[in-house]
Amino acid sequence: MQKLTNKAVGTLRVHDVSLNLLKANDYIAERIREDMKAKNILVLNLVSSPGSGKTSLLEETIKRLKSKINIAVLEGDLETERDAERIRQQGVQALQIVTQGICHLEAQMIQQALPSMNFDNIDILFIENVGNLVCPASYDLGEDIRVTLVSCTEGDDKPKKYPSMFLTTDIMVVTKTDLLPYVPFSVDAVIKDAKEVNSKIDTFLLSSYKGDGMDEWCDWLIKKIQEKKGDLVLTNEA
Amino acid sequence: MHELSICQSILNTIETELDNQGIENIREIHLKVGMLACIEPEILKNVFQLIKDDTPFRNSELYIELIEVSAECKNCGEKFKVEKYIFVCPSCGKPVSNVTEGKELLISKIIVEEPSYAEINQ
Repeated sequence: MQKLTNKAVGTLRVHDVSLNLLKANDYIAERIREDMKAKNILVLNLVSSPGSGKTSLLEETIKRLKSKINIAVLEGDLETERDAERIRQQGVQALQIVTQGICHLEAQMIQQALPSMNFDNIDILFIENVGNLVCPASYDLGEDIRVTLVSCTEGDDKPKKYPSMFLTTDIMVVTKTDLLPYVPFSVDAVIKDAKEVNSKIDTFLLSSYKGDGMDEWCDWLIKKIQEKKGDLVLTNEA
Repeated sequence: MHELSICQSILNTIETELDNQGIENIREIHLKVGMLACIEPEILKNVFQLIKDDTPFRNSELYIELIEVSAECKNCGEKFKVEKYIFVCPSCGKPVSNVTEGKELLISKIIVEEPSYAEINQ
């Protein structure tokens, strides 16, 4: 038997195991998914680099849809409650999760936050993740759909640079398209790279600021909410 | 950059697996880490070194095996290593979505030293 340290005098026993280190997170995420399914609430996890326009997209989406559906938002940030305040100014319920330095949201944080929210008649819950294209990829939050934003000012090379994120993404949203004439960003290149990493990714092109592409995005959201609810009618049409 | 969270999960997972028995006797912890797991092995090892001293894990070392990304084509059955994150079958050219290896983030082996007869009889 190999002698490992000065102290090692006993026999060594090898435990061959396969213990997933994200098992606890995945378990909690599955509970959240069941809970939200029982409540007929569609859950979206919004991820991107900092400054890609997640909060702006939410603000604009809420403006257009709040008369039709009931929206709730969970905001994740390292510090400050600024994003939740921006969302509350649009007249919808928002709760801020301050991670105090942790670079991503974990399912446990969502589970802890949910009891502080009122989900009566809510149709959709947006979870805005911490701005980071790396770590949030590994953490299932119990969402139905993962949406990754890429702003055209940050470059069209993101899918290949952050493949884990794009592998786990359902929808890619290219934001700030009003700036396309001024920046060297190729929509074709970003879609080609994203499809090479994950052929199932669908893409939206939009500008929250100017409004281009917002109708398609909002129509798609309504369609997804209706799919989730099945035969149930939307809250505000009841 | 979530190596600290993962490190904490290593400790918790092993404590549960071994029912908190003989943690001080663990000599080696072996991990399998896929290239898609977003974990930097050297940082994880350093974090482990930093936090283990105050825990029953102080006598153990972390070993990390990196797993390259592999996929299997559902169209033609080709199994291949994924190069440069191009998830396209090199044989038939169809997009591939079932990654067979490379997402792992797991403990594969725990080596525990059991006290010798000499020690027990002391």
